[in-house]
Amino acid sequence: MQHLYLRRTAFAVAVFLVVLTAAAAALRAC
Amino acid sequence: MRYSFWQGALWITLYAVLCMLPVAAAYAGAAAPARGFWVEFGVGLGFVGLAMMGFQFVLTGRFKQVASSFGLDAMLQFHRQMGIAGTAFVLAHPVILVVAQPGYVEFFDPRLNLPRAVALSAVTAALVLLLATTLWRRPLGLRYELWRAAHGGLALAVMFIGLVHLLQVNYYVSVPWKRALWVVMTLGAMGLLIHARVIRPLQMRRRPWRVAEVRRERGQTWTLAFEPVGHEGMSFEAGQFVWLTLGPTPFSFQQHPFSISSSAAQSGRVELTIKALGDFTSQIGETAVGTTAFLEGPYGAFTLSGEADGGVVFVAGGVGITPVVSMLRTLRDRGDHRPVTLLYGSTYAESALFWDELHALAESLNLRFVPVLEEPPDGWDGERGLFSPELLERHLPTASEPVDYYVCGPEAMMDAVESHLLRRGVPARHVFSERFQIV
Repeated sequence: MQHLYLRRTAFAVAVFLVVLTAAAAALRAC
Repeated sequence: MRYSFWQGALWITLYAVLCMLPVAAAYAGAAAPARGFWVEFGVGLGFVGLAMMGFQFVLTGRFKQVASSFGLDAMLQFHRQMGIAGTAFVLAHPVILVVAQPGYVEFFDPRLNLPRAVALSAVTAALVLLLATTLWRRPLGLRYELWRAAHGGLALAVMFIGLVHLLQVNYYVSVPWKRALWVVMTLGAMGLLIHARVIRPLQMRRRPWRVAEVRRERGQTWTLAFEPVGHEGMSFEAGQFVWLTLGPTPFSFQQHPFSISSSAAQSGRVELTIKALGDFTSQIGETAVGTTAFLEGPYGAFTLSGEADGGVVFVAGGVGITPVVSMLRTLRDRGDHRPVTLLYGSTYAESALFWDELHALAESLNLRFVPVLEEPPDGWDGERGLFSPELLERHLPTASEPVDYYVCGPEAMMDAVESHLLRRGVPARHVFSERFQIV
């Protein structure tokens, strides 16, 4: 069962990292 | 070993935090002046992407402490998913920079700096190759051992060029401690691969096994029995698996995971039941008795617990019966009479593994054995077809006590059964599965 959640988790982690990187860049740039 | 939601959540949070660490380190202390958002974003993706690539070596490092939260197969699936994501991050890095400021294209200009242009072009090609050979190994006709050698080599090249690029650009890492952090982290990641491919085989060389018996089972499947040579063997939990290397040396790219089929209550001998399927297993029946072998493990969280009062349900398809038969044999040897239901799917009766033994186990255990044949013989009055929701509903327990479900078999079957259990309201922590079709 963990595989069904794992795929979603991996996708969520990737999206989360993009958002965090963008937020860090935005803070840095302003 | 049980899956633990909180332990898993903790590891995933730690993973995300560590992936962001390079960005935090870049901005910390005496940082270089800030540029526009898109440049900072492009640079940030490069940092995070390289960190993700570094953690790929941890995910594939077979660390029992981490794997016990998820199952090693799930770790490898996560490695695969994050490999795709990490590649996207790293490739987005130059694309965003060049789009934001076209001047960055000079990094790829061989007239300005030949080694830099060659290195960056090579690392881009290596990344694409790394991903393509993994996603499409079978359609490309790439043999497993070649893929495995290339995968490690390309990964090392990507990390090394990534580190050199970062140090050469020297924008956010001009302070010595930042440079040291990157060097230590990158070399640490690369060291994990060296550990897996060199140190671990060296340790395994001191614990060889020999093939004691090769037994033909039904349906192009063989059971290989292994005896330890000069050591006490291994203790394992029923349902676990080992990585098998056949031949005189553990330094081989041919190392594959197989479920143990023998009882965990018997010490010494370990049996693996292997179906002749792919390039490595097609010759498995011709293995000579006396052949040296190396078993790495045991691994896996697909194991029995004593927690579910309502008993256990196994849903197995084809060769997916091997870890299940290990659990059933162990229950028999330990005199465990918990209620067990086994739904076992096979195409034909003739190719159904452990057919006679499963019928015998149904007599000696508190086991309800439900064979399901896709192509049953004439006169068959048992279940037929695939594991449809209707078929499952006819046999799954309706008791209110918690029941543990173990699902092992072909991908499509596992998807169907797991989805049905979810819809039925079975909590995810009571469903166990194992998947090894990764590359």
